[in-house]
Amino acid sequence: MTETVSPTSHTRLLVELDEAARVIGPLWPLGTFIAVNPFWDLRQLGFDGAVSVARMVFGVHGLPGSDYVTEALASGRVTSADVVRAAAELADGTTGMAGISDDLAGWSATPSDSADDVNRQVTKWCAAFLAGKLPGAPDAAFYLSWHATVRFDPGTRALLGRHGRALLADLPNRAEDAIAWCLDELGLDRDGWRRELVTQLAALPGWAGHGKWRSRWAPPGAPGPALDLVDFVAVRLAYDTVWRKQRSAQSASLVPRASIRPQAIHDPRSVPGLSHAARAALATLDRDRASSAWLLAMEHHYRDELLGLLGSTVVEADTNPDAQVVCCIDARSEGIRRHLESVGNYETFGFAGFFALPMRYTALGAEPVDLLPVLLSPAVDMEERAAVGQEDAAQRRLAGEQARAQGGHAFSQTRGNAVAPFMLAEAGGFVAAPILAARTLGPARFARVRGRLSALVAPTAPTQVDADPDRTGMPDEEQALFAETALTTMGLTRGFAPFVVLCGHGSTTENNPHAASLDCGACGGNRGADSARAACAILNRPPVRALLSERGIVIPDATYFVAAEHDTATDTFSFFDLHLVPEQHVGTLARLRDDLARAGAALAAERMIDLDPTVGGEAVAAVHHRSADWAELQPEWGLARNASFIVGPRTMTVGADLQRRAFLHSYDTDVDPDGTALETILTAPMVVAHWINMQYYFSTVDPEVFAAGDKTVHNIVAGIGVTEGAGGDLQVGLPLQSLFVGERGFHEPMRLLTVVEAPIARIDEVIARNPVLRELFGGQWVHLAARDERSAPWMLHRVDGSWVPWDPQTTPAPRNDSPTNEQEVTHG
Amino acid sequence: MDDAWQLTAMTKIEVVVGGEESAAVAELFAEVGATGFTAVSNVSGLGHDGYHQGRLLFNDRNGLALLMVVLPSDRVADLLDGLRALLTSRPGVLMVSDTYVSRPEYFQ
Repeated sequence: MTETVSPTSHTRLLVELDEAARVIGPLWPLGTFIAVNPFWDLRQLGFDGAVSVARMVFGVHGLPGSDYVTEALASGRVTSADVVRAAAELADGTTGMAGISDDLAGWSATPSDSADDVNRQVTKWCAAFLAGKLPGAPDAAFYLSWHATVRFDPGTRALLGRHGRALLADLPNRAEDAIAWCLDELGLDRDGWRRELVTQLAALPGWAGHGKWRSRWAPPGAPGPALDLVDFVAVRLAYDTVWRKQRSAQSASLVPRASIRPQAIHDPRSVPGLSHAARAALATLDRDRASSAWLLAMEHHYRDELLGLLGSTVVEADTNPDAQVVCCIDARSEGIRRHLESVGNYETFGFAGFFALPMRYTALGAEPVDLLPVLLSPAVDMEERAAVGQEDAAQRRLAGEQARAQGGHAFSQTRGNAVAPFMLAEAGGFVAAPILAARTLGPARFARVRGRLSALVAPTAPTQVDADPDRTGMPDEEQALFAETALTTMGLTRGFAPFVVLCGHGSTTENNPHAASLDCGACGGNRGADSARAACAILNRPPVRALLSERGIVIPDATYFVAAEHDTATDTFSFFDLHLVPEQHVGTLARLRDDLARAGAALAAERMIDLDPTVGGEAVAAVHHRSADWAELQPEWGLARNASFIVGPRTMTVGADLQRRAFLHSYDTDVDPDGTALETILTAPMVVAHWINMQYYFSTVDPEVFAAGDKTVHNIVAGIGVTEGAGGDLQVGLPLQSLFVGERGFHEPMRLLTVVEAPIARIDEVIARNPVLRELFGGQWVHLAARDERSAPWMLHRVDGSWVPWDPQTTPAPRNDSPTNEQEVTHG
Repeated sequence: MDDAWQLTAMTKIEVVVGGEESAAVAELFAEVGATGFTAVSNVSGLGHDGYHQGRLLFNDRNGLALLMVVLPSDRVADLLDGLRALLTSRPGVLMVSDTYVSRPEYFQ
């Protein structure tokens, strides 16, 4: 029993586990929660291949169900003609499967009785470990902590008896040895390892996903207890092995969390309302292909509408805008850009919200945080410092914040004590009760009062992000390189306005464990203001501008960069480091703030149509109420209904109401002759957009497995994730309230459509030299449409890499239903 | 090698893999007791899959990475077993060579 296996087996075993783990997605902790494609590591199989694996492993459908397509057909989001064309397209296609899908071919999850019992034990240990309740926490490994404790656990004894518990306690001290012993006990040869390991991971995809994040994505030395993948599998496999040996059950123990839902089984070829032609076309396909045809038909319908909206007329940008505003590519920015442009003489741009600065950032008195996309590692450390001459004020602010934090900590500690809460209720109840009542009955007013009190305790103090080369370790030359990359990639290299705003975004919500999912994905699930501040600090430095000038980017002395942040829950704007703004810009800034307030009010009114159409003219008050209400389940819709990623100058989309469904990345083909900027855009921002798109997709089509369940019953586990109810698996994906209105889907599950205005030969070159792009476009994870220039016809990229002309079959629907921008609503 | 240098024979293993495989490779290094390694992200070069330019600006994981470790020879077989298994399903290059180090205690 305690003998160790050969280390040769260990390395092979680790590789087998790594391969098995391709079937699950990493799950980021709540504090930096980001959307991921749950099958990113299966992307080489193509979308169809990955869905096939998902069906085998999780028992899901992977495609929009018949209930959804029936509603889409009835509402006009897809037509019978779309279905006929999509069915014809699929009739010739083949589905490629390779790699792990070969290993799993013909296999399906086999339910047995052990899964619930085993899962209950394993999740209990995982939660206790992450909460620091096991011996050796937080430094000891999970497997060792469990192994040292399990011999005393009554729950394990209840499940496995004294003998079974003793077997677990007598396992080897190394997780790898324990796994090897279990696989041997189950009589599996190496060919059977992978299926068994997949079974173990898929039984608890939430906890396994956390382990995968820790083992494959977390920065080395990340703080907190390290529940890694090997340890997780060792513990689950150990319980399962002993359970199965005791009952001589040899079959795998996976209970799929979702059996294929009835509506998905309902034949997609006989959806009510279909034309005869469409029924006949679908009849030539098997059920799965018919479901795929529906998905393709809905995607084509959206594509035809979108391309029809993007005009072919060359529109010259205003050469003298009052200000230029650079927003994040986030689909929510489309709304504010559209409204801002309609209220004043402004030019807007879209760029990834970390503004090209992969930064580890330390706010005044705070711990460092990585503000960058998860595809990157931090390359520069920057800090917030007190403004010159404001050191004492900053010290007062710090002292206030510390006092407030200590008060909160003491309150939390008291609540965790067995007796103290009663004393706390006696002593503080008379204060707490009115506070609770105010918070519940008037959340927006309560939030304002709390903000004022907070400012009294910790008065604001002017600070700035320090860009000094000596202190950041980022020399002028490197700062100039960053600035050149940022400006070139966003296509802002000439025609600078006197005032350029870098506008990050964040979302203010209450009592929302998934709050980070509403913040900036390009900032690693954090708010975007500090990235904007840091980028502005660099772009305003004279030595950087001098170097930029040598590289051909001349920023006039009169141009000033200022940082702002869009609160997407309230559509209000905060500006930063105003004490640094030169006097000559104060007037422009005041006008811009007024115009942003008007644009924000218009956007709030537009958004409330989706959130609560009964609100009418009270939209601004309503969004503030939702933002501050600790009982609100839908403070905003986030990125729901995202559908496209558009790369090109703003003149390509200006005036079109894209309904906050498009990620907009600015791009100027003239300043990118070698395609470097285009390559950067397609290999990073587009990948992030694809992750978001696929997270929403799978969370919507198979919410039983890939959505995080009902917010009303969420419990936070060790600050890492949420469970539904008292325990169980960590919930993956997005909460149901971020996707559905009751039973009806709000998000429209479609694969991302990328639209590029750039020479197609250049696009082909970029795709050819990047395997990840060949996988995404060739595997139909992302659709691609492009045109060489404004007057050229749209071309559609095919799976084999060829291009065919776009042949619009549907007339774009009129889009004149957006609210006007003339509402007299006082904002903020 | 001139004995006057008092160098110790070791084995150097270099692996070029996709950036997102770096963590799995590092895990194998740790499994055989390596106490350190070198990693370079976004490397460029020509392979049978064409030229890799190593110029992804905002993506460290979908370019190629070079990882290098030096080990006493008796641990090499275990590591090679795992690396070869890894490279059966993923693109990459594995190079093994004799090398010498001046401070062998760093590599035990």
